[in-house]
Amino acid sequence: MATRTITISPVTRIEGHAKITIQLNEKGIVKDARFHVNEFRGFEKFCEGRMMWEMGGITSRICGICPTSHLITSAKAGDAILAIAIPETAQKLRRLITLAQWLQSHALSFFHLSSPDFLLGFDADPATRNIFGLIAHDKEFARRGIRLRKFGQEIIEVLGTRRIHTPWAVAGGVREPFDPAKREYLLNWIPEAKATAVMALEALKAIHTKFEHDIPNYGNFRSLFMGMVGDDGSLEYYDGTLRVMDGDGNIIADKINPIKYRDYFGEASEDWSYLKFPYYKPLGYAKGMYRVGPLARVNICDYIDTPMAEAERKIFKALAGDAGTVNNSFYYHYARLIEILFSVEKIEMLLNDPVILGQNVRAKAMINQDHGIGACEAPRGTLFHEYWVNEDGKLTKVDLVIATAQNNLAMNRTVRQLAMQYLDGAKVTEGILNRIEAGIRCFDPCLSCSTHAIGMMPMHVQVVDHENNVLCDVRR
Amino acid sequence: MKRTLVIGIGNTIRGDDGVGIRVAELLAERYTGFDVLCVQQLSPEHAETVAQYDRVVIVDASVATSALRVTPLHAAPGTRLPRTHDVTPTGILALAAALYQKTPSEAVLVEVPASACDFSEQLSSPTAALVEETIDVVAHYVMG
Repeated sequence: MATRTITISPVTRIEGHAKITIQLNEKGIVKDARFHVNEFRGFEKFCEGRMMWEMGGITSRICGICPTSHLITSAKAGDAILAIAIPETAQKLRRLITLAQWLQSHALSFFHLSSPDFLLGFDADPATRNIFGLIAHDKEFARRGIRLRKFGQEIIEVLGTRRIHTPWAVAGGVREPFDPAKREYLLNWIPEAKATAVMALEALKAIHTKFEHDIPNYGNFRSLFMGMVGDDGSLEYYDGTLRVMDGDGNIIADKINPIKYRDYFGEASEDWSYLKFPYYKPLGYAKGMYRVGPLARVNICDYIDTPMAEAERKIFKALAGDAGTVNNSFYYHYARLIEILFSVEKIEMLLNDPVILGQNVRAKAMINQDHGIGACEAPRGTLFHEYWVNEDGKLTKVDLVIATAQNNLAMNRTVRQLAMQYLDGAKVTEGILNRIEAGIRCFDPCLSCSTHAIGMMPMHVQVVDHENNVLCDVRR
Repeated sequence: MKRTLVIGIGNTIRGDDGVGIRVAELLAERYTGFDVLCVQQLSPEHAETVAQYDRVVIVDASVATSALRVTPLHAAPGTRLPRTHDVTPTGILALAAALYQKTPSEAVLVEVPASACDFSEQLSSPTAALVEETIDVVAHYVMG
C-alpha cells in the first residue's frame, strides 16, 4: 500500500535534538511513527585513552541538566575499579547530591518544559506556550517552580562548589566534607520546597481532570518497567538492586545486581536513529520494551520510605486499576512530582543526619580491578557507566547506558499511538504536533545524554509520500 | 549606592571560553563594593538574582567579535528561551522582568574575543592579553 510520511523535526522543549516521522498510507491513515535522534557525539569513544580518575569531570559534561548523575555513576564505577567501600559520610553526601539532581531536573521538566502545555492548553499559540506565557498566566506558579529548581541547584553548589559540571565526587568518595555552616541555610529551604511540591501535585490533579479525554492517548500501553529498589523493596535512587515488573504488576526479575545488567538488557540499533534501543533480553527485541524513570520507579517499588510521598504513591497506584501498574505515560508527570516530594523529604532527613558532617569522605586505593560498573537512578531512569582500564587506570573501553535510550522503544510507541489518535491525513495543526511532542516530553528525554548529542530545538514538520516526495514542510 | 553584580560566564577547561570567569575572579580579588558571580552558564533561577541588583555587568567570551565589545542590555519584550541549557543575557533580563517586574536599571554585556576554545585551562595569548583591559573597563564602569 502506498504511504506518505510526516516529519516533525526537531522537537521543542526537550533537552537535545530529535525529529518525528509519521508515515501515512494512501488513505491518510497512520501506518507507523518514528522518533529519530540525529545527533552523535561519541563520548564513549573519545574517553578511551583518558585516565579513569578524569571520568567524573568528563562525563558530567555530557549534559548540563543531569551532570551530577553522570558524576555519581562515574564515581561508583571508579569505586568498583579501586575495589573499595567508600566512607559512610561520603555515601550519604552522594545520596544528598543525587536527590538534589532529581529535584532540580524534575522541577525544570514539570514547571518550565511541560506546564506551558498544561496550563495554556495544547492548542494555545506556540508563541505564548512557553515560560513567558506561563508567567503571564500564573506568575506565582512559575516563580515557585523556578525557586524549587534553585533549591536543588543550591544543594549541588554547596556540596560541589558549583551548580553545573561539579567535579566533587571521585572514585573512593567525595573531594570535600560538607560545610556545617551551610546546613541551616539548606534546611531553611525545606518548608517552601515541600509547599511547592504539594502545590504542584494539586495543580497536576486539576490538569488530569482538564485533559481527561486526551490523557488516555499518551503512551497508554503495557510494557515492562525497570528500576532500582532497596533491599526492602522501597524506592531507591543510589545503591539498590534492579527490579523488572510487567505491565500487569508482576515482578518478573528482582534483586539483580546492577553489575549483571548486561545479562538482562541488550541494545539494538536501527539505521534511522543514533539513539540505541535497549530491551529486556529474556523477551528479545522489541518485545522486551521497558520503561525507566519516575513512572517505572514509582510503579515497581513496594513503598516509599517518606510519609508524604508514600501517601501520594498510594493514590497514584489506584490509577492502575486492575492492571497492577500505571501504564499511561502521561502519568510520568505525576510520578515525577511524587519523586520531587520524596526528594525534599529525604533531603531534610539527610541534612538532619549527623553522619553527613563527618570529615572522612574519601577512601584511597590503587587500581585493583581492570573493569568497573557504576549504576544509579538519574532523573530520567537507571544510568550505567561501565569502564575497562589497564594497570595504570587508563581507559581502554567505555560503555554508557543512558536512561533516555532505555525509553526509546516506549517513546516510539507513544508517538505512534498519538499519531494514530490525532492525525487525519496530512492535516497538520499546531495542536496535533504539540500533542505528539508532549507525548515525548512525558519521558523528559535528554538527548544530549542519550546520544551524547548537543543542540537546540526549533521545529520541523515534513509530510512525505510513499515515493519520498515532500508533500508538506513546516518549520517553527 | 547602586547594588552591582558582575557575572563571569565561561567554561574554564575550554580555553578562551573561561575568560569571563578569569576576569570576574580577578575583579573580586582586587576590588570591593560589588558582588561577583561566576557561572558556567546562565539558567532560569538567575533571574531572581539579577532582579535584586541595580546594575549588572556580564562578562563572557565571544567568537563573534575581534575586539573588546561593550553592549547595553535590555529586557526586550517577546524574548524567548528556546532552551534551558544556556539562557542568554537578554533572556535572563526578560525573565527577571516577567517574574519580578524588576530589572537592573543598567545592564551591559562585555564580550572578550575568543579564538581558541579547545580543551585547555589556559587562555590563548591574544585573549590573555585582553584580560587586564577588560578588568579596567569593567572596574571603570562599576566604580564610576
